[in-house]
Amino acid sequence: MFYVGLYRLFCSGIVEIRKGQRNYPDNNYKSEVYMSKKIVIKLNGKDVEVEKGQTILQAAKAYGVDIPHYCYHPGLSIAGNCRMCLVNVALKNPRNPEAPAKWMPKPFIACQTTVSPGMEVDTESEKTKAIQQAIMEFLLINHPLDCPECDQAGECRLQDYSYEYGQDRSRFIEEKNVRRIKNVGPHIALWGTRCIVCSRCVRFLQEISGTGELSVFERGDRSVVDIHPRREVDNPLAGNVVDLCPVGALVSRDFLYKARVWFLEHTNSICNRCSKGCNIRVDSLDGNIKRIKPRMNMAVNEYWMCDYGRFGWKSIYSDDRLLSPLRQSAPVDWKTAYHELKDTLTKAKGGGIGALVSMYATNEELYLINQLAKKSLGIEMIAPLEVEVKNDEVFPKFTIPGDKQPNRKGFDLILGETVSYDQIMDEIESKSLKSLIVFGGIPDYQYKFELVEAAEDLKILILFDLMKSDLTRIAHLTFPMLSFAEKSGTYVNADGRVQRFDKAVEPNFPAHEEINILQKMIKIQSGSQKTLTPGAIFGRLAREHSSFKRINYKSLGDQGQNIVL
Amino acid sequence: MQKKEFKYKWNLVDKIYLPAVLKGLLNTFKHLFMPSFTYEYPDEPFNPAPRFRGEHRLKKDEKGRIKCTACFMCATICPAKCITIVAAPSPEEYGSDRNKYPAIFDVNELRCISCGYCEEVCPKDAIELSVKMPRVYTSREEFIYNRDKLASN
Ligand code: SF4
Ligand code: SF4
Ligand code: SF4
Ligand code: SF4
Ligand code: FES
Repeated sequence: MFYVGLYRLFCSGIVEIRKGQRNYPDNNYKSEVYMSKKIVIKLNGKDVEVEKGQTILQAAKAYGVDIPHYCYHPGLSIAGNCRMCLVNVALKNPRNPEAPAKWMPKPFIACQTTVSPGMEVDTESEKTKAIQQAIMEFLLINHPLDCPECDQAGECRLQDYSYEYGQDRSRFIEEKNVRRIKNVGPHIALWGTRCIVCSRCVRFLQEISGTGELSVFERGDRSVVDIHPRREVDNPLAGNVVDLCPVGALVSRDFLYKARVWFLEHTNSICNRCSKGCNIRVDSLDGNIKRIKPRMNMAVNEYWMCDYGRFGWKSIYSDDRLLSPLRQSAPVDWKTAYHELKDTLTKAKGGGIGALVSMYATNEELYLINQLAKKSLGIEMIAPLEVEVKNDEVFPKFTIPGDKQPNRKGFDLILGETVSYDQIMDEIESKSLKSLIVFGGIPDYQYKFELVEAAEDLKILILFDLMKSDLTRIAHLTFPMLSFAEKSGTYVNADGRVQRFDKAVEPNFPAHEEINILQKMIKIQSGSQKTLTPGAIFGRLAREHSSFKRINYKSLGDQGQNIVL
Repeated sequence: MQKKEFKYKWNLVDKIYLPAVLKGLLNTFKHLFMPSFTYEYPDEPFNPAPRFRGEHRLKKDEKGRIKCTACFMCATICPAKCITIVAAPSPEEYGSDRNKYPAIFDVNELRCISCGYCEEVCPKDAIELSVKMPRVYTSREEFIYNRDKLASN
């Protein structure tokens, strides 16, 4: 009997471990609280119900109690080395659950300690405050008074916690440990002295990107994050370590000294550099984009983004941007362009119209193109203007898709069956297609030579594009397009999530939104019609397409919504 | 509590008015013989108290470098929004202990309300309101002082 009991005890322990749950010191003790998923702890003297297996930090956060922390990051493993999250804890004796919880002689780190039934946590007493103050003093021992020239100032945890939990003086009179400033990668600079050795960057490069370029060198208060000899932090996810760094030790070389962060205006947006559709935040100053940061969305990009998207906005300010409509490659004003459009469309009508549409077009634009094709103008064949799909770049916990087009799903859903690109090329060559509408807007794209060559023979070529290209030279009418930051709309990412992006900056030239131009085209064909906003167009789309059912432009919020399959 | 209404009782002297007028005139007359406080500016030099808030000046350190590190504190606090700064990595001759400096530092003296906040907020003690009287120009552009002008002010 005794052996059976021991065996069962052993097995229950294994089951506990297998479930990934914490193995409590005494598995024999199976009171009701241990069995249930929810347990009750006392947080600052109040009874709160928390989930079993949560850490104190997570549990407290759920109840609006923010425990200060540096090294803990929800997307990374727990290191527990900054000690900022120390809290005083009282524990129950598991062998004697009736006895009151006993205060532990030393504080616990909240980021790693899991909650246990009857636990008491104190985050705000004088004793805990004294600990937090002492930790702040330790962290600032070697820290320079660099805030006036530090790029992190304004969004620096060290500043915030210093203000909230620290003190205004230091007792450290010895010489500070000064480290060199150096460039550790094409986009990143390391200010060694500012580092508090929280190891977030090191863990990111080991766990998420798996490249491990940075490590902590030396010991004790001399320890510092540095790069391995002859290596560079140049992987395509490297930019994330700048966002991760709670202080100004890792800074973006691109953003260095460009702006003070408290002047920046933030707009929620979606990255349009690949089919993943990472949630981003566009930071702009006086209507100019200064940087792009990832935004948390656990269903898409978690906390990260890749460097292609992070620095992709640069092409918006390229000298090759189209800044006004062109007629036979000569700039004209919008009034003339619309006049010309009317003439051109009247000429084109009556058969032989094709369209090449890129998968960078928003759902709203695609909807209007579809209207134009099916209802008013009568475009006979639509083909995708595709960019070559490369191989996925796979990292341990992040994949950068090889399909760089942000709206392939939306394209397929809204336009339905389309013909292939080659078919359009054949039709142009056999002269049965006389007019072509090219809806481009692909950043950094070169049109294929055959297309440019074939397009020379077309009767009519209407082009929508971002940049000057070979096609703008021969197009009869060219309309400048807006970049993702200058308009609003929605994309459907590769996983079928509809996500909205908002206009972040005003275009710095007199521009008309593509949806307005497309609506004008429809109006020319089928008489007067109200000009609709992106939201209204999306509403129509949602009514007409079953996949978008029950999705509302507003209710998409900043996290998006999955389409109905 | 009820407010008591106060009523002034006019006596005969008040009613005549003249004594009060004479009293006032006497006061004015007295000032003719008192020392004068006005300056014959600009013929006479103006020597204000050291705390006078005049034109801005950018201070330099012992090595002759501009102390300002372009931290934007002054531009942030300025209620008149008259300070324009563009930060840049500091030039070679500034040495390795200075990384950032203002490539452009403009103060629009016309918009400035001489509140002195910029001086108070500066963490580097780099800007001050000097005792210089605001000067007079004939165009608005001349009132926008650039970095070098402010440094030599
Ligand atoms: S890291 Fe933070 S506290 Fe340190 S200098 Fe930069 S802004 Fe100041
Ligand atoms: S560089 Fe930043 S993220 Fe990396 S250990 Fe230092 S403080 Fe932490
Ligand atoms: S004195 Fe006041 S108004 Fe003038 S520049 Fe300084 S902060 Fe601005
Ligand atoms: S507050 Fe001082 S250091 Fe900062 S920008 Fe103004 S003058 Fe320069
Ligand atoms: S956040 Fe808990 S030890 Fe760093």
